[in-house]
Amino acid sequence: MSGNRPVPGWLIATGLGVLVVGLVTVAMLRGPAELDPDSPEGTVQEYLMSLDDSRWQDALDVLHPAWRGECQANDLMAMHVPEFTAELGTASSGSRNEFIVTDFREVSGEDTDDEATLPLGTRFVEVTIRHIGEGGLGSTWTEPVTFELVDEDDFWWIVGDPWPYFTWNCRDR
Amino acid sequence: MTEAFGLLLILVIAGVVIAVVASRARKRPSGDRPGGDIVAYLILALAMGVAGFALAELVATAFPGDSLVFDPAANLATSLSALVVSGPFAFYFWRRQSARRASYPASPGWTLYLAIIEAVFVVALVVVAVQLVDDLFNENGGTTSWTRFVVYAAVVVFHELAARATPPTSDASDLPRVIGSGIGLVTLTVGLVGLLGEGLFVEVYGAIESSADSPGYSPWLAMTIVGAPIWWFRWLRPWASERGIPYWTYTVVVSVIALSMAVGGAAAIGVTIVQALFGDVSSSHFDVVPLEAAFSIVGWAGWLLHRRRLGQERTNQLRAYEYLMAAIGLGVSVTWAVVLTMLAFGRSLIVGANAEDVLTAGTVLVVALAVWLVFTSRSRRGAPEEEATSWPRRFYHLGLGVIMALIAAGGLITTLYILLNRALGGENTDSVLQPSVTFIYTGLAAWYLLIVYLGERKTMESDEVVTPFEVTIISSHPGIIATKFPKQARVRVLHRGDGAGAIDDEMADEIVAAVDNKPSLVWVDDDGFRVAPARTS
Repeated sequence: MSGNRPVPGWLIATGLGVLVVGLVTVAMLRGPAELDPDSPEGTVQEYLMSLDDSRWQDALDVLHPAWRGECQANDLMAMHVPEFTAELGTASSGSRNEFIVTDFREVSGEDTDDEATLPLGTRFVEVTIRHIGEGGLGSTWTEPVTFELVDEDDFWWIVGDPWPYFTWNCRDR
Repeated sequence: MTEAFGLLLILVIAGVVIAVVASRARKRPSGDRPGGDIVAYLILALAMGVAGFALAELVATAFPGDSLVFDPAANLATSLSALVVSGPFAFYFWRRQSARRASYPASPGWTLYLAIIEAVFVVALVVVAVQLVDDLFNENGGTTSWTRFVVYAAVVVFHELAARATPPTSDASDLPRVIGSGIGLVTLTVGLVGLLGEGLFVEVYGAIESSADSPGYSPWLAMTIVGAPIWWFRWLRPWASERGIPYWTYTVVVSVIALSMAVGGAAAIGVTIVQALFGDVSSSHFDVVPLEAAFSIVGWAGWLLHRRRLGQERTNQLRAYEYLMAAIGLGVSVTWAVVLTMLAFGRSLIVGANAEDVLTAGTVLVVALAVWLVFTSRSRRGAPEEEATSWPRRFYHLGLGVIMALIAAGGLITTLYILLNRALGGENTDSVLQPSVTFIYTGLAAWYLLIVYLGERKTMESDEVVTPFEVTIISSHPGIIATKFPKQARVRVLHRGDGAGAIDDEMADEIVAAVDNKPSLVWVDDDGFRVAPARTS
């Protein structure tokens, strides 16, 4: 049936081979995208790259001071994720679409902060975190994560309890 | 007291229903009308299913064994009430259909009934048998009730004996055996993959690498022990010389799945090795290789055992297998080409090296392209005219071409939506790369497939003008002869009720040649076929 092919078989095989080699070469040579550090996405990238490089203090530095509270580099290191990649999803403006805690009442034990005084995010950046397992096909899993950011002092700060979710445990220490 | 009265009432109602039905059946000449009896057999299957499981529950209540939770009153009430309702129906319809089978052995309802019973009770039997055998190998033992095994086995054996007494003879008479083969094969395959991938190969790997998991053989050994005899009994015993559509469909599908397993497992091993050669991997990187190897080896074994049944001659069964593999190869190629392009040009990756992803995508793409090229090149082995008019090739080019075209259209619509949304001031931040690349790759595939299809159709169009004609075929098993006539033919089939006169592929070609595009009457019996010209009005 080769006579009915619109393109000769050898040309198809050669073309596909060149395509694969070309794509693999380009993909291997390029690194992660470089985002504008003054943008919300740039702050998120800086935070995640710091985690990836185990620069815990650098990661803490982009968290809003009010949300960071008493948290130290050790607290972040304790939640260390061994190996991951992050893909940027959509970014949007608005307000947090969930219930806001407006007041804490003392039931027993210690007093807690009034969370209503903390600044809330106005920009939301979706990221897909991919945890990398070992070997072959299908040994990874993904986790959708949304970062909240607020614009203060010409800088986009990360607010809330960002992935990998550690400030709840140390902010009010 | 109230319960006893309710039970009595149900029994009276059931008795009245059966008496009325039996009385009506006696009044009319029931055995004289041929038919599929589909509804009657479906009712019988339902009644037999309820009765079988109720009986299993009843016997399990009588012999509870070491059950931790046991409520004999509730169990007894459930099983008895189900038996009281289903038992009379099962008994009546079994006798009725047995009598009708004697007169009309080619009833498709009997085949359908046996297939349903096979699917339900052999699966139930396998589940209980695996639990029982697994208990034997566990130190702590188990609490699986042997009584259910006895009841399910009895139901299966009872129907096996009935099927041997009056074998199904409809077009799809292979269906019950094919379903049994599938159940046995799936159980055996899972058992073998587990035995090798979680057990034996892990032992071997553990001797080399300290990070290996400890080997496990439960419940894989039990699945292998249970699945093997079922598969042997249903698949390896000799088949009738005339094999039907279920047999060939099953053989083609299993061959494709087995080869996909074999190639997929081998590709996974290849990816693991390539990642280790060119990437930065940890010491436990090869821990998955035992499972990948088991997957591939069991796949190859399954493929060898099923592929040879398709033979070497270029029949439509063999073509269906090859074009199905080609379709899988092309589909996987397009998918991973999109992934690789995203890795090469996408801007969404903001953290992490992607070398392992690239190596994975590149290796899978190369394997998938090789599969596609190998299986499409097989078409050159056949005579061009015959190949171009075969339904698997036409279906491959037209069907897959249309699917690819639809996906390409979806990609184009998404790309245009994002661009227009941005142009109109919307806040859309979605990347156009993925939809546009999907459009390009699937569009190219669709273009190639449809161009080949249209080119072959044009080449094969005959200069001969065929006027519409009518063919009447009298046969018990017409097969796919209707697809072999030109489109101008109007084919009418009169089914013989006696099971004689099956048409195989070779005879179908001879009949089409003998009819020679003229109005004809075709009579098929055990001596062959005869063609008589039909009068045109």
